[in-house]
Amino acid sequence: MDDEKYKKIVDKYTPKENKIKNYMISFISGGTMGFLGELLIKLLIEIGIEREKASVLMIITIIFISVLLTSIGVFSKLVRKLRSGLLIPISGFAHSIEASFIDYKSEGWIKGVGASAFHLAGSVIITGVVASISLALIRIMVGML
Amino acid sequence: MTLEFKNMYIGKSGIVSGKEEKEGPLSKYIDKECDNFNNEKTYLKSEIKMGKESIDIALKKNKMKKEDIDIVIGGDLTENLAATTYTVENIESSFIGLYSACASFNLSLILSGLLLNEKDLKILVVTSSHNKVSEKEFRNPTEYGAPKSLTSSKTVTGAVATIVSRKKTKVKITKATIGKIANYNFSDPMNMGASMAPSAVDTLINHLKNTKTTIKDYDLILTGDLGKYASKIFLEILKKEYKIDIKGIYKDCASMIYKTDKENLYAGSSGPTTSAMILLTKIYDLISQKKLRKVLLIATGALFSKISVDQKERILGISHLIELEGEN
Repeated sequence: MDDEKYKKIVDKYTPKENKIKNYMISFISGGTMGFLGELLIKLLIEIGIEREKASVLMIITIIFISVLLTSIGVFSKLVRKLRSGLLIPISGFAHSIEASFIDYKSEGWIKGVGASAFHLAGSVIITGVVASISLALIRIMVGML
Repeated sequence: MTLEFKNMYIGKSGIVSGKEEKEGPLSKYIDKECDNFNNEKTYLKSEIKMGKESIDIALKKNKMKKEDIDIVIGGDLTENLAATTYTVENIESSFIGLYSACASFNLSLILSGLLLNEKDLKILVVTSSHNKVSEKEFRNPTEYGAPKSLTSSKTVTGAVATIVSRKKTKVKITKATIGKIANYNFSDPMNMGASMAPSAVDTLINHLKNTKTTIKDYDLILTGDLGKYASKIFLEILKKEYKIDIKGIYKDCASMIYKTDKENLYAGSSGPTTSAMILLTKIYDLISQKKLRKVLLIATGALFSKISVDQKERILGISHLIELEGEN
């Protein structure tokens, strides 16, 4: 049997993910995350902290909660239900680093945790740094025109 | 290649598993249950301890001491067969470690059969797998919660050990067919069943051809761990390409380990322990009670490495078949 014929049979019996449902769940959970973040910033401003510091404190708070929930095994269960809305923002980033920390502890601090803490987050960091430098250069060059 | 075994009998077995496996349909057969850590510091150490415990139970049940064993044969999914090697280190007899992914246990039995054709030996055959060890090795850190695709499978946490020898018991292995690698250009590690289904068909057809038998000669045909969706692919290829319909006598071990209403089961269970556990518990029992006469067990394996998958290589499949018969 050739590859094409086989692929048709596999597709026939491969269950299709309900993409619309997944998009809706991610949209709602992601939007809620953004809303809660803004709410926290507003609360911090109310108690007298200036906007910039409040943003940073909000991010630190979300990172702390994500790491805490990951260490007690709750975060992974939440991600299965709430999908990308929880995984894409800084909460998912913190979760991936903490998950790597927990798993690689058994190989020690240097070869385990040290080498593999950014196992999943590494590509996010590199992409972020390269993208921001590139965009900054483009902005400078456009500004010089 | 099909082989004949003259005097190969399966003795009693030791089965150790995790909590979720103990809650499933094989509960009464599982000798000991443990949690993911099994009082050890790491998951790998826990898998090794499960292996050692299953060997102790098997030796006790067969009224043997470790000095009575002539050779140990086994394999598992860990890198460089770490789990099996450390499991059997204290059994001071000859050791052969071999790898055929989830078909490792059948391959171990096949090699044992060949040795038993030559010599009167007491062979200890082992395998093990641990859900968290496999997740860490092949997928993501175990605590990472990324949603899984519907075709992914759940590696069984468990260890089995059994004695095969020329000593007559109620279950014998009479023939075996060693599979060849099947490649249909599949490279999705989240759908391993689809990589393995063609090799299962290939091995079954070759076995029927080489033994000059038809499916009517068998009471039950099992595949190792194709899973919920790939087992349908297996049936369809047999029907469409070979005009063979085995629906009435076919079962896939991947749907027989856990409770059917279990959450997060996806396509079913996987790992070499899947087919080994079903063989040494339910199938062994049914053949002993003469409820089944001739059974074919086609263990399926997906051959790849973490690096080959990251380099976008295809996943190759291989299936090894053993034919079981009740002794009169």
